[in-house]
Amino acid sequence: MDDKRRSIEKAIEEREGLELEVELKEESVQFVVVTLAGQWYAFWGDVVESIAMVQTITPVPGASDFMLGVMYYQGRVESVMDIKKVLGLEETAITRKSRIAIASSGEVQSGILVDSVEDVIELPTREIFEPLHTMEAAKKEYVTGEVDFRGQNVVILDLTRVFERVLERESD
Amino acid sequence: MTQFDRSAFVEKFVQEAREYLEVLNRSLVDLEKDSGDTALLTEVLRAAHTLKGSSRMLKFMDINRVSHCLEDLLEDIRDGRLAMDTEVGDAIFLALDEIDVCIEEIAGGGEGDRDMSAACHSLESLRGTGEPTSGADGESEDETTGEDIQGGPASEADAGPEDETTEGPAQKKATESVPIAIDRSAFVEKFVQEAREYLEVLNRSLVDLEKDSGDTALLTEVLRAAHTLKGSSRMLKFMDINRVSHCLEDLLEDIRDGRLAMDTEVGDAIFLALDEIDVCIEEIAGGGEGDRDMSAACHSLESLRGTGEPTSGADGESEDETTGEDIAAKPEEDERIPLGISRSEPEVKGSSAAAAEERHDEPAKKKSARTAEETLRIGTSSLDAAIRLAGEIRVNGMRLDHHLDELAEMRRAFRHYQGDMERCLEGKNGREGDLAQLCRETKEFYAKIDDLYRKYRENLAGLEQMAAELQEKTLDMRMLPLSTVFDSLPRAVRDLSRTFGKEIELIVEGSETHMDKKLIERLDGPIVHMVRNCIDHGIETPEERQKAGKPTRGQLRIAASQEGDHITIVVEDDGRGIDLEAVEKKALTKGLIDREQLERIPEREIANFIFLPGFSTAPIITDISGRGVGMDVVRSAVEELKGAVSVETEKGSGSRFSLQLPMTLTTIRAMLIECGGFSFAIPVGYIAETVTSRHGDIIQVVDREAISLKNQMIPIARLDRTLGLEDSGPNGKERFPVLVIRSDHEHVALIIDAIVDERDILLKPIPPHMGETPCVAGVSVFGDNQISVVLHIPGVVDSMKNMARLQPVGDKRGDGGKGRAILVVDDSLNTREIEKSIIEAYGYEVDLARDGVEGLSMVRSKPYDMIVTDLDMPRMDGFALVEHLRQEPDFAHIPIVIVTSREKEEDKKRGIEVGADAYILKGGFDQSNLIDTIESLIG
Repeated sequence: MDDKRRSIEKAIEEREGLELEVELKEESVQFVVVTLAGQWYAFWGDVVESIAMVQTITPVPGASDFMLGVMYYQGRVESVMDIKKVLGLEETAITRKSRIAIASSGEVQSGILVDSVEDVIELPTREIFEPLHTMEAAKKEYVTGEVDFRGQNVVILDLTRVFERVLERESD
Repeated sequence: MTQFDRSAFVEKFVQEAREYLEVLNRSLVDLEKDSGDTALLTEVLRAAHTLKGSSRMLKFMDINRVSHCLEDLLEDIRDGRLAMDTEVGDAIFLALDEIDVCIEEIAGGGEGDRDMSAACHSLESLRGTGEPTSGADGESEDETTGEDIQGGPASEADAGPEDETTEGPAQKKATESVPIAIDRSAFVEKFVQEAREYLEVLNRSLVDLEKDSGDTALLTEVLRAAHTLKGSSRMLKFMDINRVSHCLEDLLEDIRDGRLAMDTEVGDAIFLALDEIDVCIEEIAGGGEGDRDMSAACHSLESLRGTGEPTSGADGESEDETTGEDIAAKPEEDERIPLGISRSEPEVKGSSAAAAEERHDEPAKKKSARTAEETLRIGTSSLDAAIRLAGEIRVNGMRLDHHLDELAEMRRAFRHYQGDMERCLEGKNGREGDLAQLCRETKEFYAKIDDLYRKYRENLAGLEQMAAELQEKTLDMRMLPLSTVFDSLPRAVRDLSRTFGKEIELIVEGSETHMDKKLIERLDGPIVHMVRNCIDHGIETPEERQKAGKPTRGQLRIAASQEGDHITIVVEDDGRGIDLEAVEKKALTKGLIDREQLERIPEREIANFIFLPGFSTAPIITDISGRGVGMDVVRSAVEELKGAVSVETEKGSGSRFSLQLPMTLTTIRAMLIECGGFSFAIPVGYIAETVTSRHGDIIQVVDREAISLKNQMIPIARLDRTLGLEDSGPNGKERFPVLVIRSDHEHVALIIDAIVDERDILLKPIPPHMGETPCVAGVSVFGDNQISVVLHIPGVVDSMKNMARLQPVGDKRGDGGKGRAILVVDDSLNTREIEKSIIEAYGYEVDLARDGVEGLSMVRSKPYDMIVTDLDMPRMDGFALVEHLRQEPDFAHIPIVIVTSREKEEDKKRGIEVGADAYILKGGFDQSNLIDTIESLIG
């Protein structure tokens, strides 16, 4: 447990360290705020490459259950991940507001299906807090902090960590 | 320019050019000694000039270019702007050699295309200085000048004298050097490529020579390869290679002249030497100098020769003694050695190195050298075609660009009309004439749109066609014959059989089969691995074979063949086969499978356990003949190439590995189908046939379903269910399409919803992080950006088998059979297995036979309570089997059931006449029908 805490702290430090440089110039970090199963979540802006409309997603037989399939987007075959399954959130149907965030970190690039993209915000790094929420274990390991958005506490989901886990499961 | 048949002139040109070259070679040597001889200079100039002219006429532009440079240079000398010294001489002789190579290529029917930039550059750079070179009396060069500019493939005959002229003075004035700016690397690359080819020739031919040392034609070929290797290595100052190849040549001459017999001892020494050369060459390829201590190799070659002194040049061109005066005479004396292998032939990429890797412990070093050099030789004609197509596509693209301009124009016009229309509608002007004019204008406008539409359609069609053609052409460039892998096998087999003390006859078939270069490169390892396995563990020692009553010489057969989009490569031996019991035991102890699962696996699949990862992690276990050591590596390599591997074996008579691979990894011909609301693409190579079936055709077989097709029972399942997708169930239609899939030697049938199309598709990989997807080869994107999953059929077939295996045995209705034994005779593997699983489910013990002959001998060796037989079988059909059995008193009363697809009444009648007790049609076959019959007969 302590290990986990330490690793989270370390991740935050790394993030902050990374953003510190940015801060000197811009003093702010970008977040993409999305809705998943009726709740807001924030993704670090630097891993989100673009936001795409939902297109036909072709399921791939045998793929992990949190992989919805593949889609063709800007000349690439992109996987589409159902992040709600990864986080243990309840399923929701695809609507007109649904979007696919194309995220890229390390060697993995994948689309992430979200119920909507609420906003792209810039916050000073000092407004990023440690996660205080007591939350389900499935979610917890991916949360690296919290920010305030429209007066609410919104947790930051670290997609880099999600992707690392994806690879981990693959190499099992 | 008018086109004329130049072939008639080419022959004459070659003849003349040879003469001019001789004149040039001879005269220039004299000129080097006395550059003041103007008569000689004039003669030389005239020769160069004529060569320039005639080569230009016949469009041999590379020769033309060099002779042009040559002429310019000679003019400078004549006019006193340049002094004729050895440095100049060297550059000229280099140029002459290049021209010579071209001309010989033309003589051999080639185009004489050759990169002349180095030669031209060296000629031009001499002119550029303007001032006469330092050592006017011809002593101004050092080691690096003369030798290094010699082109690799230039004839060996020139090499000796060339070296001599430069080396002699060099020893005196080695320090005073004005090196010519020539990049030796250009020649080194060529040298490496050719040296590899020569090594390949040597390795291949020497294996054959060992078998038949009397083959003089082969011996001559071998000698020539060694000779050329010696020459070209000398030119580029790879003296270690030169030394060994010299020894090699001497030895081979002894063999040719009957002074030495070609035996295995000699063979060993020669192969050792070849390996040493190979190591050097790969080092050179990796940028090294190819320095290597060759004394051991040389010594072993020399010691075999015994009498003769080791390095005396037998063909009279002993470099070390040649003096300057010989130069002129030399080139005439020796017949030129043609450029061993024509340039359109594919590159032989270090396949001999792969064999060498098995013996030398320097694999890492070699590998890096080989991966560093990623080249592919392409026939100029196909490259030209590709370039032409690319150009046309470009032009077409410009046309489309123009269309876009027109379209923009129309867009503007349309906006204008819209405004006009609105104004008309509002009646601002109220004049009818406006409306009429607007109508006229829009009519014209329509004509323009129509015109653009047609032009656009036409251009697009052309573009598509050309793009497709270009794609085909470029893909073809990557296709190489399998000989690039297979040619190294004789050598590898020879070495391995000597190592393991086996006598082996190697049969290689289908070397001409073409495959994608990328695939071929990665096949080398798996094939060598399987071959090694067959030799090490499969084929017995001569003594063992003798005891088993086999010929002492084992047979190893490697055969490639093409079926549709697929290549099958078989590696087959007639050795002891795989000990299935040992494999079974090992799989159990390793926990790869449990006993219950094992019982449900058909016997012939047990051998395939050797491909399971983890099967062979243990140190080599020889009691199961070590099979499977590293076989999982073979499998994963093959699966990575979207292929499949399987093995069949028979105890005592050998085993047969079979690889199934796509021809190329990029485009495949595929059938597009729909199932469960999704579309899939299936490579057509796997589709044996498509049929339409009805629900009534499906037979329930214990834990799965089957369908009877052409006297065979084939397992059948819905595709979506097999893929683990939601089973959309029968779509309510009475009839549905069924794909009969062939993977390796098995057939399975897949129920789908619709066949949509068949076309060439471009295979794209799926992102690697998606999970284990054994059933998926990749995806293909269609014009409307829709993605179809391309199925990996061997994976689908496996998944179907596993599905059946995983299901609990549902209605295992007990043990009515009480261990009674039934023999099932059928030539179709699928049918045998299906009948077996049905009957076994009812508690009977089942043995299988493939035809009447086998059935008869089994009945004679073991008592059976009943026989179930097919009618149509090779060797002995069902009628004959029944007849035979009924004639022998012991079997006169065994109940016999015929299960056949023959529906004719007369067949049925005949079946009963010969003595069968029951006649069941496969078409109307179902599980209970068969069991009821069995039980009524012996229950």
